[in-house]
Amino acid sequence: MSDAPEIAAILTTHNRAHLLPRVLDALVAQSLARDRFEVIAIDDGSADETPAVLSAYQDRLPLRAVRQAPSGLAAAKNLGVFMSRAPVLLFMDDDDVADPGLLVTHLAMHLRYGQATVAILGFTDLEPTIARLPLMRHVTGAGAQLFSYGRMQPHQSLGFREFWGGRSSVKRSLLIEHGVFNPAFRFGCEDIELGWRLDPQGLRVIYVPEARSTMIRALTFDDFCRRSIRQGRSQWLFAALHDGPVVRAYCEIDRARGVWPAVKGDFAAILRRAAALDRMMLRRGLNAPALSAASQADLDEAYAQAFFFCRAKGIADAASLPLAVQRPEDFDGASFGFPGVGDLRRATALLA
Amino acid sequence: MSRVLVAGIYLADRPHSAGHILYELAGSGAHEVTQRWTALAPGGEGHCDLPCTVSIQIAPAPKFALIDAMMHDADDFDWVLICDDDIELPAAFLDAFLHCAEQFDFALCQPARTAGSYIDHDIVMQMTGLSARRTRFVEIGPLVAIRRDAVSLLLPFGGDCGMGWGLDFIWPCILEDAGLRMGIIDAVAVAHRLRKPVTGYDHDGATRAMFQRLATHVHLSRDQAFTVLEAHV
Repeated sequence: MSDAPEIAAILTTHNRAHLLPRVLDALVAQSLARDRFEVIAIDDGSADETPAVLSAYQDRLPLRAVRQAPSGLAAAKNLGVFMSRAPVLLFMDDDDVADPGLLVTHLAMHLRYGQATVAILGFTDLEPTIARLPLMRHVTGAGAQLFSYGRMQPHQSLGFREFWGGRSSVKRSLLIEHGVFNPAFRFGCEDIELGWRLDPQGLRVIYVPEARSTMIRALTFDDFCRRSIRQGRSQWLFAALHDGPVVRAYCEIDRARGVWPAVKGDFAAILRRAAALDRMMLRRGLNAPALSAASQADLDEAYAQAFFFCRAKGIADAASLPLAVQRPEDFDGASFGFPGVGDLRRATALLA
Repeated sequence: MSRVLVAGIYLADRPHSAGHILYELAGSGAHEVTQRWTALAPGGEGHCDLPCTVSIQIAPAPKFALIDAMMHDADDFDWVLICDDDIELPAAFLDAFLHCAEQFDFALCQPARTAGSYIDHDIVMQMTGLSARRTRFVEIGPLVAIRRDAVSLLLPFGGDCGMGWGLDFIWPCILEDAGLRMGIIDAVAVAHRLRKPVTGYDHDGATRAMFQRLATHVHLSRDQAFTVLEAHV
């Protein structure tokens, strides 16, 4: 029997030292035998105590912790892919705590679905205290900007849109053969963009709610606005790389660019209004009675509008800049002007 | 000061960047560089007047046989570089590149490729957060550096080597068996975008030769080869 692990948990992290102990403790507590899995932790240039926290778990986990200068989520995941030895890779976020059966459930599903093109999407719940926060309830419920499990059926076969980072597992061989994450995506869309490229290979994503983890970090309104702006930038990049109606619609390009000129003058006021509603909801307290259906709908609409306009701003910002990636096919080889080419006499002198 | 031998081939009848490569490598301040280039000029067409052109090949010839011919005295050098003619090097490339190679004790290495390059194997794509990676894969091109202690293990390529495909899956077995390390240098990446790969030669023939070669040599699978063993910031 090979001594290689059967599944790798690839944990990418950046400045979350305060959360990592719970995340790592949950991996220590996995029901899967320790010699059957590995944990690859990629520290994406954290400036906090992350290296020390990871180091403290070296003896408690089959852990390899690697540090890189800040390069973004996609680059960190790629390093994890190439460092792993296991045939199955589970991508984990640094604010998610695994249930004890998480790894064994993912592994079992990959044994059941042995085809290289099958990925497994697990379920991530919110910690109870976080789930009661109005914003978190919105982004995982009516708004579905963070998670949209409500539309899925257990063991449903899904596609590239559900190849969600941080809770999906995949065969390493699929990525090795057909592509890894595009490092131009520093945050957002890196997972779905890869799913889109794997789609022609027959990627299927099976939703397995028994593969559970729990998100332990609450996002504030301002957090989510910033996140949405970054998401919008990535959506622009995704659409620019893969021009076509499907990606363009997924990335909301036409919708965003259609509304942004008209709303950008009111953008700050729209955010201010939504933020005020959010503060009002927080002041009511987490144990306050539920809102009426109409009030809840108004609140959801305010959140949804604010976050969509943030994504629209991200899209508009990115559209106004040169594309963040260079493609070799766009390179004009006929007009290149390499240093030194026109100075062969000097090169000859140097070589003499 | 290390002695470095550069062996390269340029396509005399097509756009290439060999002049730029020649210039950059010649500008090394830390190494004594000897360059030898062969011009491929089918039927005598093209411009074969680059400095350091040691031969002009007007009839089709296996690439690595030509490389072998330029490296008959490879043992006399500390490093051997094998270089294609369609890459772009950053300024002061050679000194930075070999500094990293020596720092991380790589006997076989290559620069990573910029993300805007033509890339066949994703593992060679530059990881901008790293200086270098110890890997189990170094691609046969577009630029490969072999340290003196690996020269006798990997060279000469031999007349049956053709385009060299598959060697990159055999090399790690040879080097690991000898206790040597190989890697990819991210700190000095090269751009490989001037020509799309596999436009200049017989793809099917190279593929057939690769499988024949792999069938007769101990080698790694792709899954095994595309592995990073150590990462250095």
